Amino acid sequence: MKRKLLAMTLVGITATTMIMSGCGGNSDTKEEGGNEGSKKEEAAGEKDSGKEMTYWSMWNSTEGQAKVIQEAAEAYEKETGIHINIEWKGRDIKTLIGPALDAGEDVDFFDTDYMMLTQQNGKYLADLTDMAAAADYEKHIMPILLDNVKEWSDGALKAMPYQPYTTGVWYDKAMFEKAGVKETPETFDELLEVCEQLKKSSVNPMTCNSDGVTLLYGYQLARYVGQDKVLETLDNADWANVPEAKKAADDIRTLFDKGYMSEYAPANYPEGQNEIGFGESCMILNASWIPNEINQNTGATVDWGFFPWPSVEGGVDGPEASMVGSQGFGIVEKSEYKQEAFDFLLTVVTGDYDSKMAEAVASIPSDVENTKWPESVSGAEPYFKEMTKTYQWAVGLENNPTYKEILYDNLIKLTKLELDGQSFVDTMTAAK
Amino acid sequence: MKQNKKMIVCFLTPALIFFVAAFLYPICRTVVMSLFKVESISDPVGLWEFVGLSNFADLAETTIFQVAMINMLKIWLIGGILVLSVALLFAGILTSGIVGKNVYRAIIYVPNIINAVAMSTMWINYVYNKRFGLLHNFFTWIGADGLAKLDYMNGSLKFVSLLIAFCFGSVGYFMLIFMSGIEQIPGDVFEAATIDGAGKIKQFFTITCPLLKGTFKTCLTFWTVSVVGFFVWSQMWSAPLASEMSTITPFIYMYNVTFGTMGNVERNGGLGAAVGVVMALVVLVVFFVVGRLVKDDDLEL
Repeated sequence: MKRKLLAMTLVGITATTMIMSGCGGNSDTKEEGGNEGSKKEEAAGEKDSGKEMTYWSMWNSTEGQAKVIQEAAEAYEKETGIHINIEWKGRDIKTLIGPALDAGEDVDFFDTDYMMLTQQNGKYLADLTDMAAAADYEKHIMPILLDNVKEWSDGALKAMPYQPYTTGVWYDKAMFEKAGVKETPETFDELLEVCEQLKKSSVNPMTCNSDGVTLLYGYQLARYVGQDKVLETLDNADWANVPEAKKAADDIRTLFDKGYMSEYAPANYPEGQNEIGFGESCMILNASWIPNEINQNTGATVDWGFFPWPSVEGGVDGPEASMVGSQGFGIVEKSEYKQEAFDFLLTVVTGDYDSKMAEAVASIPSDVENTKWPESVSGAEPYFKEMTKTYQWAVGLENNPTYKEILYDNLIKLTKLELDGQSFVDTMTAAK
Repeated sequence: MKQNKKMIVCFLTPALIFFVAAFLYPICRTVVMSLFKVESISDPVGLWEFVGLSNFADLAETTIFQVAMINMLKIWLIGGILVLSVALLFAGILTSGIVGKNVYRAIIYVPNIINAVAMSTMWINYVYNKRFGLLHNFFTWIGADGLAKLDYMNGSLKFVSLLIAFCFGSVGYFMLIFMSGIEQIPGDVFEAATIDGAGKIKQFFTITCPLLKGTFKTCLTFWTVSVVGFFVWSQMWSAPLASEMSTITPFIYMYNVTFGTMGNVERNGGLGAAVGVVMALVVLVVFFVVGRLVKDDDLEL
């Protein structure tokens, strides 16, 4: 009898819960639906085209870039009545987008690193050449980025670059001043002199994250022999026959050996870079997103200066050559709203929204007509505009998936002073 | 009887369809894919280029894959000895009638219910950090400045730091399996041993351990599967790099060659599939060898 009573009670509770949650669910859904509807109407203003585009984004919804894109999408909907359904995929988009498009997922446009966009996903993308010509789009974008995009797509324009970045040495101007450094170094020897001055003023002249060692060595070697020779050396593991490979290794080792690098460098990301925000170190070789990252991470308000990685005696490259890149939007060939997507993206990568995005995350504006750069990266502006040669990331040292870990491991050993220049070259040659 | 057959078909069909679609088809596709060069993992079969066994030959000659296999072997062997011994020890202690057994069991098991990303973040930032981590602060406190400056996240210590953190999180799971094995051993066996004068330690080595052969076999298989699938911890230890020598494992290598790490890096889904096939073979071999070496039916209780 007791069991029966217990069972009936349980059934009763379950049924009541189900009914209540069912009712609640319905009313919530209706309410949400109602809100969504009214929001849509509000956003659309008087227009409602009934069209909807889907955008897979490389950003997470909380990031500064995402907020600007969201705002641009709402403004576009208000103006045209076309709703943009945004799916914030984050950086995982690089593994998701190909299989999704192959499976017939309804995506109208997406974004990722512009090199990855064109070289790995180019087959899914529409050629935007005609639309770009009609909108006079190319005059807004830095020629060197457009040249890269076209080169990777056999002359077709399959990506709209935005949020370009450059690389070089970012430093704390106040520390330079305190150490009595008047001029930024143009040669590696001058860099060593600046480091000595900074060291005497009781700060670590330089710092780096552990992932920055390929940048250091890549830049130094490329200054001696240029990017093509670096790639050739890497592909053939021809380190022993390139004397500059040893020279560059010795140069980088000098920075660590003479105490010009922080005692913690190369530090685990982002501890190395944060040293500048904490006022312990002065310079770091990295990309133009680093000032914003450091300020955000440490709450510092560093007055940032910039100079390109210095040239070397007898070298072939100088400040005209730099690692640059950007993110890029691509419009899917199968989309039935290609023109609409292009029109929307034009509002994101040029004009006011481009300025807003640059300000939001202290990045370089992609529209060359947006001449006001955020203060923290403005030091790079004159060099960026005079740059004529682009390097790949780490001058291509991270390209080879079967070799890059070996190179990275030996560079860490070099910077930990476990290897000298010659043994670095010998180890790399042996690891072929 | 007819009714029963219908019922069997009705109940089994959905599971069978699910199994074929979710397991058998991907396995077959992966095995076939390993014989082709496939630029993108979702490319239609028409775009695949047949290369025979050359993906496997390439793997055998690739230094970084060999390094990844050695790393995996080290995790399996050193980590396995550590994890299974500590788990067995804890299981032995907790089943010996200790007061507060449930509390200790819960505490030791907790790391298993925390996401691997959160666990590794904790270890990287709060234990190994060379500026304010637990180890740094401890060694500074005892005045061992040299040890306080050790860099656990770079160079030769990186693999060790990864192994310790991973093992720490794995002990609880295997401890529970061992505990359930120990609890299945009839109490009168221990009672008789006690009467015969055997102490707890002697009982542990002469009764508990021999009677846990079957459980040990299960643990070894589970451990092998988890080590072969070693991925997240390694990625966390390498971030923001895709991978590095000291922490790369075969699955990380598979991910890199399948999806590419940079825009201009050549991808090969076939090579990735070949890694998957090799890893499956490793698990099968271990399963077979352990099955042959450890017989769990030679003792009847």
